[in-house]
Amino acid sequence: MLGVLRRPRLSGVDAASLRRPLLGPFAFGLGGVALIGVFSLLWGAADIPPMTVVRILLYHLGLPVEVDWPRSWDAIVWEVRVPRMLLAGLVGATLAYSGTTYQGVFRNPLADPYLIGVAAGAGLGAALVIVSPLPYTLGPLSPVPAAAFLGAMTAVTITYLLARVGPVVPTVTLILAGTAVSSVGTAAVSYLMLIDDNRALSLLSWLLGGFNTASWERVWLLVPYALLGGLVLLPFGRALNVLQLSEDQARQLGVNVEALKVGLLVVASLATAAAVAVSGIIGFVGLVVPHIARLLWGPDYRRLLPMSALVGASFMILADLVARSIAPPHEIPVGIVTAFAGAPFFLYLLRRQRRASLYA
Amino acid sequence: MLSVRDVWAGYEGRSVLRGVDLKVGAGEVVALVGPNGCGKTTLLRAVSGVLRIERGDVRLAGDELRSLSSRERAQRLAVVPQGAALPPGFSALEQVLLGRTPYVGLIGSEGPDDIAAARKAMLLTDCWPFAERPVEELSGGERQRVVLARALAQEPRILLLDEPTAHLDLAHQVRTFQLAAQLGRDLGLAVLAAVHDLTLASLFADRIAFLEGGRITLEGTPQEALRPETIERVYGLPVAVMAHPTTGRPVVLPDISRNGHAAGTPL
Repeated sequence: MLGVLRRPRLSGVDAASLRRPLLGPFAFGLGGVALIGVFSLLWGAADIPPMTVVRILLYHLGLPVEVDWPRSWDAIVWEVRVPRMLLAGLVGATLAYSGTTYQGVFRNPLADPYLIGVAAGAGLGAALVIVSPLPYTLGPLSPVPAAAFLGAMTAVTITYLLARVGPVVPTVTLILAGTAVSSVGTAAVSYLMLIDDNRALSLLSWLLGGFNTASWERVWLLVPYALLGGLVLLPFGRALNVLQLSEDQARQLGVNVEALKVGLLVVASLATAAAVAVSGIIGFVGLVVPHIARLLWGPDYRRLLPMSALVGASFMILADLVARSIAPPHEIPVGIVTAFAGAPFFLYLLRRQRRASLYA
Repeated sequence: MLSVRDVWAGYEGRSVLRGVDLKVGAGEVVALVGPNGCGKTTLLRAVSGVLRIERGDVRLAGDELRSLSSRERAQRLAVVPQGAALPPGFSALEQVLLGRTPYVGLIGSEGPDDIAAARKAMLLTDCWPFAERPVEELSGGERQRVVLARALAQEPRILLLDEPTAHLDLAHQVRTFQLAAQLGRDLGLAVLAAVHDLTLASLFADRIAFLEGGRITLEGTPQEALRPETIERVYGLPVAVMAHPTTGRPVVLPDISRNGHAAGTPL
């Protein structure tokens, strides 16, 4: 199976044979997302026959299908399951490609969307709104996503200013500054939870993250950021490969390293902040999915970026499916599922592939 | 081809280079020597545009370094760095193709021209037979040739080598230098190599330049430059210089029998 996805042998190298390797994995990844996506729509607490679900979907896609199902089924499929699946997929893809970008920019396998303070900043922004007298109902006009977004971008900016040494931003100071900013943000959120018992629960449930409040509004809130981030970052796969050399070497190859790093981080942070704003803080995906993609398809960022986005989408949809069906009628936070499922799978791949040398 | 005039550069207000003058012509191999910390790497970083130059000017094939964009600069000048830090998981060919970055740009992808250039560079350095192998499976010498091929794939007119053989055994040191020097002459490149080993410098360089206290204090053919009294002054170690039995070039041997700053005496 994996053999099919490997690079073709090098006989008569030409441009075409160097580009070919992406197609197989890409088709595989896209097929995986489609399969898991459709499966997650068929599955739910309400017992709707699979064929009816398919017909409801076709009806909403504008096909001539005779309506013979109750209104409530229509609402469950089209207003609950579809946006939920789309939101989970988009958030998973966004966190995964952002994580891949962070790992590439920092040349650090532990880097993830939260390393430079994005999550803590978003958490603090949201927490401030939730404990304030403002209404905290989530929606496109709700102050919570906006505050999360502002908090995330503020945190990233502070991290950056702290980390800067003259005109350069060394990786070490960036990680240290990110850790410091994260700690302050997390401490502030804990303090807010302690002083306001009434709002503590709603704050906690937002922080834990999940898709149980998914809606079309939230999908549309995230779509522009997720798509824009992905489309902007995708062409930079080769540039990320160059960054894997030392910074001096990248400069000697004519790359403006600082500008490239700042640009990639801003785009990735923007996309991450949007994902956090609509779904709260879901850990582990941005860290583990890029590694899974790397172990399966190698370290070339031209392949890694699209593949981790696809794996991230599949992974998150599947994790959400488990989160809502493992203990009905209750749902468990999806972050718990991503951690429980992601870690062992990651370790299994690491041992089975014996490609730990990738991290040498 | 490469002209350095009165260049001052350094780190955080401390000037390591204090008025360096140096010229390297096309097809010429110049070895840059001097004790640890004398600024060899600093000079190579300044010339390659990685380190800001405080004063003076550097010209690459006639044009001021400052006036060139980083891509234009990288199309004229390539660096073989210290050590062979290659990210694992990429094939030798993929590594060499990274040398095409100044032509491909940030978001482009390699075309047939780039692959032809990479193939040519790999044939010249004898890397083509293992083009497909991942770099982590290659030996130290093979990796060094891949790095050299990556630099040649930039199609530069100036090649800088920063102690490229420091971690290699004797045979690989000699072969790497021989290859770089010969390719430099054949392709008409200006080659400037920072070298620790004076004998190695003597065997392959047309000229040797001593960097001392941030300036070039002496420059000349190996026969002119490698005199025992010069080396003793620069390195603080008594040496004997002999003629190589077959090539006649100077060979430098530490002379521990003489009472200088040798073992045991404080420097």
